[in-house]
Amino acid sequence: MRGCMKRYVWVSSSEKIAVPQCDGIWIGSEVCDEFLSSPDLLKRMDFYASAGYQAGIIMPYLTPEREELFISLLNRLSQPTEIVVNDVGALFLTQESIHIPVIGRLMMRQMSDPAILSFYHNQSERLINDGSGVSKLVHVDPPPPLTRHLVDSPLFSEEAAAILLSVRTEVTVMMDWLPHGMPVRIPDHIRVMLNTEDILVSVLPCTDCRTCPAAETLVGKTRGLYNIYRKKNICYYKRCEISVSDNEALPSYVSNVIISNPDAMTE
Amino acid sequence: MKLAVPLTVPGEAAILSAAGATEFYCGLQTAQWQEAFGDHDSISRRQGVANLATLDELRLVLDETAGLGAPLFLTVNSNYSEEQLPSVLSLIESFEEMGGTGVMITDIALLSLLYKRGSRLIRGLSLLAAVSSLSAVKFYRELGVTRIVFPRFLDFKQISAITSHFPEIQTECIVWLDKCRFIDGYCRFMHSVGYQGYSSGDQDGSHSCSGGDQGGSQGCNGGDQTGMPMRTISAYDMDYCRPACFELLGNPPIHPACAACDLVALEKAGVSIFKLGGRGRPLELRLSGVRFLTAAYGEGSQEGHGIAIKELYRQIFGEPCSVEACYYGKRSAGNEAI
Repeated sequence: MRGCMKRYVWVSSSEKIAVPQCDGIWIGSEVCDEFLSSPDLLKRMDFYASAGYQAGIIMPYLTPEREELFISLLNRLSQPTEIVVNDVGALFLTQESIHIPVIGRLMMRQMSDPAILSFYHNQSERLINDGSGVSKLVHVDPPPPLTRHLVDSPLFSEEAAAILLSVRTEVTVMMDWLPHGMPVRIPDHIRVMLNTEDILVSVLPCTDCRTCPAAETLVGKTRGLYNIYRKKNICYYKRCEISVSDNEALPSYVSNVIISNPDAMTE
Repeated sequence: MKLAVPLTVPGEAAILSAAGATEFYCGLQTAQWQEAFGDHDSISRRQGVANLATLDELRLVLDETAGLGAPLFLTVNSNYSEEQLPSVLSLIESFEEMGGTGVMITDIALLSLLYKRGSRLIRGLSLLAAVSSLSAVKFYRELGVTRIVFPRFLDFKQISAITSHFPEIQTECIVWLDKCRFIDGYCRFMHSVGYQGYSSGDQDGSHSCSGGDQGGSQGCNGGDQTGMPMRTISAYDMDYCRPACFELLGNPPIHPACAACDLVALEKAGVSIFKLGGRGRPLELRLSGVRFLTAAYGEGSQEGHGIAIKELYRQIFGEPCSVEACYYGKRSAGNEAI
């Protein structure tokens, strides 16, 4: 599997059209619909397709307004196109079209809080006062079933996978490469595209586009350890800033990775 | 007006019903679950004493609510791993056999399994399912869902666009407490503490350790000033002091968040049930919420109702309400907050 792993770059629609060093392109956003009404979107798709790239679209979660835009987009795309869907509504609509759904990160519901990494650090015991008296706090590792709960996606149960696979023989899912661990096994016929850099941890509601920051901003730290950043309405942390094992390898079931660095692109 | 109110222990339903609560919901975290999966929020997204502790307690609460003629919903709104699903299903089946009304769910697999088993329970979608489109409702309806809690980011027009297409679906909005500036269904920050050998039950950061809401590995050292024997707590989450959202966004307003000024607008948009958050919070706080919302609803259709409701809030809670505490007010939920 690893030998034929493909590298994708994820771009927003506002960046200039460029030719990146990769195999495929994702265009769009999990939270913003600005690109959906852009007349430029299909032109970009055509440009990348004619340049030999696999090009797909990342859809935000749907609202009634976005739903209309999305249905229109599904009809305008003349060739079967991979579409990353981030809620069951978009999945439902894509499954009914000629297009190919890829299950997005918001649907995968990985438990990505960086604090989970702390669960596995053997720390010194200490005293705490929880209001009812002083207690000694000692570290234990989480029970293995809880660890599996913390790293598995709920869509990897046999029952959920059957729903995802109801109209296709295989399906691709987009996951984050969690620093505290990844599922040991995934269901047959599910392919994993791994986002290796920015780990999604929360989403803010949309309000005013004029005040929505398109550039990365530091929101603050959690646990005094983990920087949380924000771009548009996505909050995330950077895997490269988290201390993980040096010899950590990509899980063997990963078929594609997202390197997500448009700056590396050349015109 | 229907008010759905959380229960934490037996004995609360009659008090809340007398104040105006019309239906109830609760979680259950048994010792068996805790032994297998730790004291965490992995069954109901609430930890420890925010839940009932035994099936006997659940039966007792069900008897109490049935005696009041009020529906009782069991909250099983986490996402589950393959090995957790049988335990959750078993719990739900026990609840159904006892005569429970319905379940609040997020997990797609669990919905599908209940559908295939022909469960007679009402299947409601939790706020955490983040249902915000017509096609999402269609998808879930095919899995037997007949009730939905809308996410807070939807405005009245969007809610109306959905409810008008699905008059057969009962819809709820949260209108009291638990307001977060993040989208609940898309947020992965944990609120649970992660104990193994001791059940704290705190959900709101109030478990904060002595001297410490600074977070960080410097921890929360306290001193033994009681002379009582010291307990040992086994924990896998040693750093926890308060939820990440508090660390990033600051502590929430002291006084309760609400949508009291918008009850009538929500009702006009098709919302039929107003839900109070606050599982695990003191009975008195939940009771004050029921009384306040009942009074606010009475004011809601009058001209200038917003002013009257704000005055009511000030009288009951001793402080004026604020944009930070307002569910639907301008700037209350948006990205300008960070």
